[in-house]
Amino acid sequence: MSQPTPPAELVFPDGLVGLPQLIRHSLSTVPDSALYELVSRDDPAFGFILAPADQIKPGVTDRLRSRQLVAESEWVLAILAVHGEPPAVTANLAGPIVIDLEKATARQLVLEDPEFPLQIPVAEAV
Amino acid sequence: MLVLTRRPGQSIRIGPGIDVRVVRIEGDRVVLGIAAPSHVAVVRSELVEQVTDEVREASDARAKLRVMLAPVRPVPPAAKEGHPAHVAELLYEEADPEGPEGPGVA
Repeated sequence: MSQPTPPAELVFPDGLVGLPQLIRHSLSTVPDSALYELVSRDDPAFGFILAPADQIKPGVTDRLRSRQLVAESEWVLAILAVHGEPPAVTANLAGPIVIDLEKATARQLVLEDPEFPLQIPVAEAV
Repeated sequence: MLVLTRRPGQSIRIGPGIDVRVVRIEGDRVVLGIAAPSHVAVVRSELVEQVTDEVREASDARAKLRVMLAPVRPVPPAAKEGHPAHVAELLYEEADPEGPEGPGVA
């Protein structure tokens, strides 16, 4: 399955969750990977790596669409972080980033559902 | 802040489409039932804070994450020691052998 080409500039009209001041962002692909990097234009020191949510946990997008939380034109990414010792990569499915590919806008959801954990170990995701 | 007193079975309405009902009281815990339109997010306040904290941690960990994921690219095998190769298999399985494309490529 090919990945959609994301817009290079993204506007989060409401900012990120708890960070409403972070509205304008740049989105780029991480070379030789299926990953993306989002960097705030409002605070260039702020940014993170993302992975398509369906690669972290297959069916995430369909599940959110069935709940009418994500539209057909939208694409869902999960923020990656590092936790534990030894360090391990985790993905945040409780607060996914939803990108409207047509409007080049995005928003962050907060999902109250144990199927969408805050820190799902990436290594165990498949 | 509006403060209301309710008993189990009683409810309050917020706006045109949100109902909050006190289902039962268990010791120092109140069990609530919330009916809201599907587009209205209903989440615990602490989860919102946790999501914000997680985003901040993800930002702080960006450099470390790049280092952890770097060994999945063609590098000497020794550099992969201690790194979860299966992460690479997940995240890089769709990598384009011709290289990245599209706008905003770093």
